[in-house]
Amino acid sequence: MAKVSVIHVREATDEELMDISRRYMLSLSLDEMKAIKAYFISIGRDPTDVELNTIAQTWSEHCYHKTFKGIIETNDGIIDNLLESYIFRVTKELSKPWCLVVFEDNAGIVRLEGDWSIAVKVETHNHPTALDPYGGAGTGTGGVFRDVIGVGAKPILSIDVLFFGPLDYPYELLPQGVMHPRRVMRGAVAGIRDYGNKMGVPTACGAIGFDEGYLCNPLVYAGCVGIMPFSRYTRKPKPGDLIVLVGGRTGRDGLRGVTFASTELTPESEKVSVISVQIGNPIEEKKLLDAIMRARDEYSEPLYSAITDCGGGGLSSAVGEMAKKIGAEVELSLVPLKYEGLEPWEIWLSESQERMVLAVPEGNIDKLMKIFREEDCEATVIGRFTSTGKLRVYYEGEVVCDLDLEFLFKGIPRVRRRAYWNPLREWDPDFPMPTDLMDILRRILSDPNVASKEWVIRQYDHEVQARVVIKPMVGIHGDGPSDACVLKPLKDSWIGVVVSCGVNPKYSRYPYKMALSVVDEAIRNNVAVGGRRIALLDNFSWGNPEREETLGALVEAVKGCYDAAKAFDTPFISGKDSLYNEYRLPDGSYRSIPGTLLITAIGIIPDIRKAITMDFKEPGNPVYVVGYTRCELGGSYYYSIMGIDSGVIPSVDLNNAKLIMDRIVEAIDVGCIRSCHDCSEGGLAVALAESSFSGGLGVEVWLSEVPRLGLVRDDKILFSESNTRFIVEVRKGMEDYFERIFYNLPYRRIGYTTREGRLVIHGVNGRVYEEDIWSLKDAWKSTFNW
Amino acid sequence: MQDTHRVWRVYVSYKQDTLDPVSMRIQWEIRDMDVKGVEKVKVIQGFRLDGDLSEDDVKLICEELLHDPIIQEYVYFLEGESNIRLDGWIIEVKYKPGVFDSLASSVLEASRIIGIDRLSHAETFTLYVLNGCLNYDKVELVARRCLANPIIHDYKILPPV
Repeated sequence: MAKVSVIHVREATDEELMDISRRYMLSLSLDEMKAIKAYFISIGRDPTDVELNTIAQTWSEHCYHKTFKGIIETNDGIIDNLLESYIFRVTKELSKPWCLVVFEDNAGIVRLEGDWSIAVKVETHNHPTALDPYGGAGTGTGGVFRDVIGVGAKPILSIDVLFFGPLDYPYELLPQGVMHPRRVMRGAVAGIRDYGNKMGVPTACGAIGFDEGYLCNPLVYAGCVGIMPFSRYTRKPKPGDLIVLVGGRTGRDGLRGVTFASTELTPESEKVSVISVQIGNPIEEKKLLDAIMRARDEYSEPLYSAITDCGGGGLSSAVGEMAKKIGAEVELSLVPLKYEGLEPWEIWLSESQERMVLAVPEGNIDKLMKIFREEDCEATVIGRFTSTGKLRVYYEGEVVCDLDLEFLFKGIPRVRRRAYWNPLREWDPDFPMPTDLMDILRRILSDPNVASKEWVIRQYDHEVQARVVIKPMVGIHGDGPSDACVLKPLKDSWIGVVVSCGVNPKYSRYPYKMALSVVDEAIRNNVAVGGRRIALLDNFSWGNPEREETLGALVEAVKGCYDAAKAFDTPFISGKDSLYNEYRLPDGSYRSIPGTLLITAIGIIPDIRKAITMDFKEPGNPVYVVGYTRCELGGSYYYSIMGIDSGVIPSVDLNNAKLIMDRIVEAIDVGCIRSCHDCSEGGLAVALAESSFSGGLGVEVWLSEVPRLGLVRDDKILFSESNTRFIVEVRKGMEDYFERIFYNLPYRRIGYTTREGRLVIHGVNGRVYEEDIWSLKDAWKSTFNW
Repeated sequence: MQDTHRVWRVYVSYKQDTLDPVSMRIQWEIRDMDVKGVEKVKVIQGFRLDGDLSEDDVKLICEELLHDPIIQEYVYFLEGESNIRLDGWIIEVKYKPGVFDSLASSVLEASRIIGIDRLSHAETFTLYVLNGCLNYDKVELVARRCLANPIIHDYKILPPV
């Protein structure tokens, strides 16, 4: 007899419904429970635990994004579906022919050259990492690789952006059940390292930041770029196709990870979550990848008609999604298990890693099985797609789940939430200018957010596959901070893929401008090495959207994404959100993360031999600043060192920004640029210092020449974090070319590179600031001297 | 003649005069996590091999799979019959039941590949042998703060004999 229980929802009162939601850890609201009750009344029976869990997974915030797709009341009116209204809309409006698959599969796909195309996905894996940094971050990486494999592409780059609490946080003050940021960071880095390195995927792009807001909720964004011939893309399971589960075996790991991800963490999470923790096995995934690539390529057509990752929600979500428009039948007792004793709902929902689901036409099954046998990778037929419109699951022949797919995917009541946002009034404070600006520069350089992450980067293999052309560390000693990563994915073509990111939680108090800023940052990092034709990915990590201000901030950020993407002519192709990143302390108070928007930019460069790095190349070259420096020091490192929490958060001049980016690319193409570095954290001063010590050359500049608006003080010119600015070293003798390209745009020659290793800055009033570049480099490198 | 059910334990560690980066790393991390008094750490990778294995089987598994003959050495013994002395405080860390142990699953699979199909179950654990000015509380602090994660690990502390 099947080990299934029936749950009596039809006669349940509201209170009892909520009790069921809690008892079975469904994380469903009363409205949702009522919708379930109504459905089962209409079909005249009560649900099984398998059915209830299936619905809860499908309707979870993690899978369904009910906040983003819900109805939001704001002071300026109603927003019906935040995703459709802004993110999807900009992609639709820009309507780029090179965007092949957007927002409808596991990963976004853009054309590269000929039939070759690039698949990209960035995921969050925050909650699991808070509990077990090593396993959580590792499986985050493994999971996003499978997203890319899940469209039929081969992973060629791993991207990782991490946020932790302050590294010097006192142990005594750590809330109960929270691990120290140092330990979380080391564990997370090791997890990412071990997954990428062992699977043979280079990890060559990312960022790491620190803020007290991440103490209880560290963030892990794991991304992956893959390559595939687009003619091999297929996503149309047909009734009659077999459902084949491939890869690792199924155990209890990661059960209910999805509903878990849609709740806040509490000290109790530590106790209940042993089942939510997943442990990765990269070797298993490598075998899976090899087998799938053969199944994709060995015959005139792929042996599968559809493929998907078995991730959050396990089989229930993978099979459910594929069967959405047709129907499916699955026999759970066929699923290979790691150990005996799993109940049917556990098999159906398990989030054991390294598994994928294929839809395979019956005629291909023998060929497919042969390949998987040869690659020593398990493959099992567990069911069949049907045309019944139903998701029917059996255990040892007995029906344990029989749901209408229409109800499962469309039956969820729309979430209705209120958002409130009080626009921030900003002003720039007046205070006496400190005398030792070079000391401030040193302190900014050694701030963990800015300092060299070489300790982390060196643990990641960024050479494997031999495709990475511009590596994360550049310059004469191979340790300067690269703006972006450039890949050469094809053997017989010079075309390159340029990957960069932008993220800045220090601006989160003004979410609209934060969104503009991080889109600008991602794009200018991309442009700085020669990237163009850029597509974007958005990843929101936010607090509890049931609070009006938190949701209000999210709405503001989404609006910023739309405006920026429209102005830059850069469509979104994929995205993911992670909400409820909060920690409830025993006394009932909350700790929420700062709203954190990560933008990943994917560009191309027609000829990788023209790609530019950020280190100064020769002495005596003219150095230009492109873009206006404004009085925008809100959220800057300078003000944070000075203990100032006011100031104006940087915005973006949406009318000119795209033009400036385009001209940089043009100047790189004609060959008049020797080095190019974007100005971001720490402003002009940090960018100049980084380009100098990376190239082993000095630089002498005059601040009076910097194109600026409303700025007269040396400190503010040096440390303002205005967007859309670049430091450009122009090839001597090509100044005219360069200046002609930038005609009518803000640019000025501010100085030149020198042979002596000194940073020399002439202030507007004749003061001279001077510092040895190697001492600056020491400051930058000593923080993570682990 | 059929052997009764026996469980073998294997300890793998770096050879005495070889650079031991794993132990050095852990020692550094303990210091970095603000625990004072730990002067020396030795990390031992442990395996528990369950099944109807002869001594030759265990030796073959150790030789072929569990250690790197250039830099590492191993000892094996029947559980409960050890006369191996480890000097210092010992913290034994292993996965909680139900947490997937990928290293152990590799040992199982690889044993089959080298022709030993009587290994029915494998587990891994790590022993940290600590020396210095220590007491139980301090060692437990090391375990909790640096070495074991209560969500996935069980740990056990053994004072010096």
